[in-house]
Amino acid sequence: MKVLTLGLFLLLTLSVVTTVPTVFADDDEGDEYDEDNQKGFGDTERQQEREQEREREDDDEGEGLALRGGIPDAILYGTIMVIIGSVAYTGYKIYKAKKPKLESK
Amino acid sequence: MSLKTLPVIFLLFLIPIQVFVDDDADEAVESLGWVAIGAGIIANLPFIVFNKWRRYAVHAGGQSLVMARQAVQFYKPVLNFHIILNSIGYFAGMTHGLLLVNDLDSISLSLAITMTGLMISWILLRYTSSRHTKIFTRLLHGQFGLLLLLIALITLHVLTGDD
Repeated sequence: MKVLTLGLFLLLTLSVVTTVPTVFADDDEGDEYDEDNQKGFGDTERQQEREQEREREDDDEGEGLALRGGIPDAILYGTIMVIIGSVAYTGYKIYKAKKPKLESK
Repeated sequence: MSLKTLPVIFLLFLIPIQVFVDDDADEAVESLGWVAIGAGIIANLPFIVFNKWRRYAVHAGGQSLVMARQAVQFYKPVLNFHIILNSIGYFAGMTHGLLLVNDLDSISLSLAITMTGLMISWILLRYTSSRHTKIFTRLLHGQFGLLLLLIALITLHVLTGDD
C-alpha cells in the first residue's frame, strides 16, 4: 500500500511539474519567422536584429559571478565528498551509539 | 492523509503554473528555478523553526513544556506541508535543470546531486519498514551540514547562473 501511495504521489508530482512546461513551451522563434516572412522582412533587417541581440547578450554576460579555472570542478568534488562524509558520519554515529549497549550485554 | 487535504494538495501543485504567465519561454524556465527556491524556503524554514522551538521548549520545562505538548497536534500538518512543498520544489528544480541541460555546469550538477540525495533519504525515511534504515535516514536527512551545503550551492548557482 505504501509503495503504491509513494508511486502515485511521485507520479502525480512529476507529471504535473513536467507536463506544464511542455504544454506552455513557446515556439516564439517559429512564429517570429513566419511573421517576418509575412511582413516581407529582408535578410539585412534580420541580420541587424541578430547583431543587436548578440550585443545585448554580450552586455548581459557581465552580470553573473564568473568562476574560472578548476573552482566549479572543485565544488563538484567537494559536494560528493560532503555527501559521502555525511553518510559515513551518520553510520559512525549509529555505530558509536550502539556499541556501549552491545558491550554491556 | 485524509481526503479533505487532497484539494489543498492539488492547489499547491498549481503553484509552478504561474511562472508561465510570461510569454517568453526562457524566462518561464528561469522562473521555474525561482519557484523551486521559493518552495524550498517556505517548506523548510517554518519546519526547522517549529522543530527547534519544540526541542528548546521540552528542554526548558515548565510552561514551555506544556506549550510544546500542545503543539504536538500541529506537527503532522507542518510535516505534510514540508513534504509537499519540498516535492514541488524538487520537481520544479529538476524540470528547470532538464530544460536548461545544455548549459549544465559543475555547480548545477552538484546542486542536483545534493537535492536528489536529500530526496532519496526522505523517501527511505518515509517508506522503509526497516527500523535500522529508518534511524539511519532520519539522522542523515536532518544533517545540518547537508542543509548548509544546499544553501551554499543554491547561492552559487544563482550568482553564476547568468554566465
